[in-house]
Amino acid sequence: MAEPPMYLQTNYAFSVNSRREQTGSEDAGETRRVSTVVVALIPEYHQVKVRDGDGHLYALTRKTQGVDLAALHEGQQVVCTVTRKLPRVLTATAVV
Amino acid sequence: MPNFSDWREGDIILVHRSPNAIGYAIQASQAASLSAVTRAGCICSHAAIYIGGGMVVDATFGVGVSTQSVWNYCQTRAIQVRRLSDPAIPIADIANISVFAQQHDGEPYSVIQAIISKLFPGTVPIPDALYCSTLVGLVVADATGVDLSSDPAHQPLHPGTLAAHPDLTDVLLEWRNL
Repeated sequence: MAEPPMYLQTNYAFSVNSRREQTGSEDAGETRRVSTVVVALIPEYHQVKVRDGDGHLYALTRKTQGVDLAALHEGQQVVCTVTRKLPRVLTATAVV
Repeated sequence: MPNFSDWREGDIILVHRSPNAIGYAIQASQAASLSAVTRAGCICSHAAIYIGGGMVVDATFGVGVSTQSVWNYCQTRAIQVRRLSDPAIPIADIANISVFAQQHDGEPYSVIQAIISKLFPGTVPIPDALYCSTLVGLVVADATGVDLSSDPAHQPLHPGTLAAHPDLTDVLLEWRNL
């Protein structure tokens, strides 16, 4: 008997990371302040990319408080308050 | 075909490499990455955003950003579904990943940018020259504020990086007969 096509033989579900969806709470309020520099203006996606001294990138978005994205320029210094667990910038202040 | 009932709008779809030279080349380049995360997921060669109804938005060579059926991928290639699910991220923001992705329909794809990003790991995404993972990363950041390429080990984003990204969780895939 002819074998069925391979895609019918195999369950293609797979994972390279065993972490599963979490249901518990976390320290959402834990933040830190970082000094960053603007490295890219991406108005098409309503964001500005900034990088800290360790090479971490952060996205300033239209939801980021304290900063006008349109007023930033590449090379400008920005102090950000970011969440520790997920890299989200909550507030940002441009250094004049 | 997949049971879409467990999928949510804004889920990230990772597609196993295609069985051709391009697929093997992408896998090989990711396997050679300095990033252990990207190496761990190197079997994946494409990333897309699920927008509901069995449809995804993705950036593909020769087409650019477009909407198509996930069935175009999963009938011949393995897929993985991953999700940004964290209590700190509002559900509405995650749903916006799908909404915002569709707003970029028609934007171009760039092979050059994909190559440059592999040669220069610190490269920042260029909207005029997207590839699949760039689209996913920019749209996720726009909708949720989360930069999936924040950690230097995740720069630049590749499909393999998203496949093993520690901030994303796996969605169990169930399959049903046609």
